[in-house]
Order: sequence, then structure tokens, then C-alpha cells
Amino acid sequence: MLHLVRINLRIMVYRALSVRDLNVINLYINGKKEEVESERLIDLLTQKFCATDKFAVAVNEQFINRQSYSDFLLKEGDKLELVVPVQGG
Amino acid sequence: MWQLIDKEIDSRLFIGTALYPSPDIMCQSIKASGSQVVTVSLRRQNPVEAAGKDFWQLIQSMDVHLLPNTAGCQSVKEAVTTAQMARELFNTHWIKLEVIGDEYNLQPDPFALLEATKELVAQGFEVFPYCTDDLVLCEKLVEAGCRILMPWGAPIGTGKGLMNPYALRTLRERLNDVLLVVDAGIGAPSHAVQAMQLGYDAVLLNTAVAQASDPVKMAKAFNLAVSSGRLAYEAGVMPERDLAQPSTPVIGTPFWHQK
Repeated sequence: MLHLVRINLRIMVYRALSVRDLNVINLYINGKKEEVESERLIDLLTQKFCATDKFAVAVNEQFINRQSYSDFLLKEGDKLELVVPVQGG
Repeated sequence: MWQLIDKEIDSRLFIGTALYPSPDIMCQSIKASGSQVVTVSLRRQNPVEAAGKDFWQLIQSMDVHLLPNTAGCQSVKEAVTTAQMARELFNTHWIKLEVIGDEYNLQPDPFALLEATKELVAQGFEVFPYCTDDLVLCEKLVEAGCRILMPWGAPIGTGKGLMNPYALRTLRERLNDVLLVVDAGIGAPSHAVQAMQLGYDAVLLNTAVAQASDPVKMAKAFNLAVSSGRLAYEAGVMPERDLAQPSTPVIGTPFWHQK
């Protein structure tokens, strides 16, 4: 019986996550409006920005450190800044 | 050798990495300048393009200390967040703090600068504030925890030299225990000599080298100028006089006739 409850719970969580992942979120990435299909910051970064590991991130003017990428969830209308090293005076 | 916060370095010239005709000339110029402290920045860019990676690899190969800036920030919040991103990106707690208050002459906003300094010092940053030459502001920045101040010589990129030597001299005389760097406005090696002769610990410049007809040669000229100015300061420049005084002995002058 307990085993069945566990399986049902897993199915419910899986469905909830699947539905959530199908939701499209509108974000502003470096000032440009974009649609993303996952609310997980780590998904966005690995799918769209995997070519280099040399960047830093802020969301709504709050710095997001590298260790927080996996846990950070994006929401509708969030403003992302993705910056890279450049020349400066 | 001299002590720059937590680093021992030889050169008293800090140099920027922007505006050079090419990355190769930038590297050659930095080498010719002898500088061991190099300013860098961070900007929006699609990391897929990997342009930032190229610059990062280039600058890493130079074996210099990086001083990231918050150029372009106009509020405390922007500056603090940019500094936090820079700390992670460049792996240093040094930050050249710029909070611009006037877009026309790029004058620092003293009030926002002080507030951002307090916040960043509390977060463990070593703040190198780009500031005006106002004594009271500078004293308050020191009270806020700055061990180094970087007052402007003139607005960024103007090349006008030291527009207010009196104010810069006053800062040097009043703030004995603080490292002072003239940042911005230096156009010619003679300006750098002047700053160093005032007893400033270093000079920070970018445009004067990067926009010279021959940046590599100009970098060498600034290298020599900063060393020369420092030597002159240590040697002690003679006091200025209004009246002429002959350097050759007067006694025994031939053809001298008593009137």
C-alpha cells in the first residue's frame, strides 16, 4: 500500500513538473525580450549560453552567484543581465 | 618595490585596456608601459559569441593584476551589483568604483560613490574609488574604509592634465596614510611627471596611450615619465623663487668692475 502511494506521489510530482516546464516564460535577457520554456536558470544558461564559462549573471539587478544557478527559478518578466569580460579604462 | 594594498609591485603606472587599435597593440603597449595593474570591465554580451573568452585568455596571459571597473554605472545599486559580478568574473576583490553623476563630463557622483563604497567595503571589497579632488569627500571615503583614493586630474578622456594642482596637492598633504592615484585626464607624459612629483603613489591612464599615434612608444614614454616623476619627488624638488639667482659663483668674475 505504502509502495503504491509513493508511486502515485512520484507521478503527481512528475506531472506537475512537466506542466510547469511547458509553460512559456517571457524574460528580458540583456534588454531583449525572449521566451524560455524552463523556469530553471541553470537550464537557460546551459541551453543558450554553454559556449563559455566566463560570464556573470544578475536578475532584476541582483547578483546571482555561480553556486546558486542550479536552485534559482525564473519568473515572468524577470530581467537578466549576462556579462562577459571586456576591455576597460 | 612598493606596497599596493595586498600586493608588492614595482611599477607606479596603472593602465587601461580599452581603445587600442588591436588586441596585439594593447598587449605590446601594456608590456612597454611596465604596468602590473591593468583595468578591465564587463559588458552585456551573448556568451555564445565567446568574445569575452578571447579577451579573458589574452589578459590572463599577461601576468598582471586586474582591476575591474564599474564604468557606466549611475546608481548605487548598479555599481554594487556590477562589482559583485566583477568579483566573480575576474576572481578579485579589488574594484575600481565608478558611479557617474553627470553624463556630460563623466563626473563622479560623490554621494552615490560614498554610499556604494560603504556597502562594498562591508562586503569585503577593496574599493579603489574614482572620485573628484574634493578634500571632504576624500576624507569621508577614507572613513568609509578606503585605503586608496583615485581623484581625477581632469574628466575622463580629455587629456587636459592636472586641472587643479592645488586640490591634488592638498589631498597629498592632508591624507598622508592613504595611497593616492591620479586617475583620468592625463594626456601627456609631462602630466604624469607632475602628478608623481606631487607625491602621488601612482597614475592611472588609458586614452593617452591607446589613442597615441604610436601607442607602444607612448606607453614606454609614460613608463619613463612615471619613474622620473617619482624619483624627482623622492629627491626633493627645489623651491620655486621669483628672483633670479646666478648658479655660477659671482666672486672672481673676470672683467668685473666695482662702481
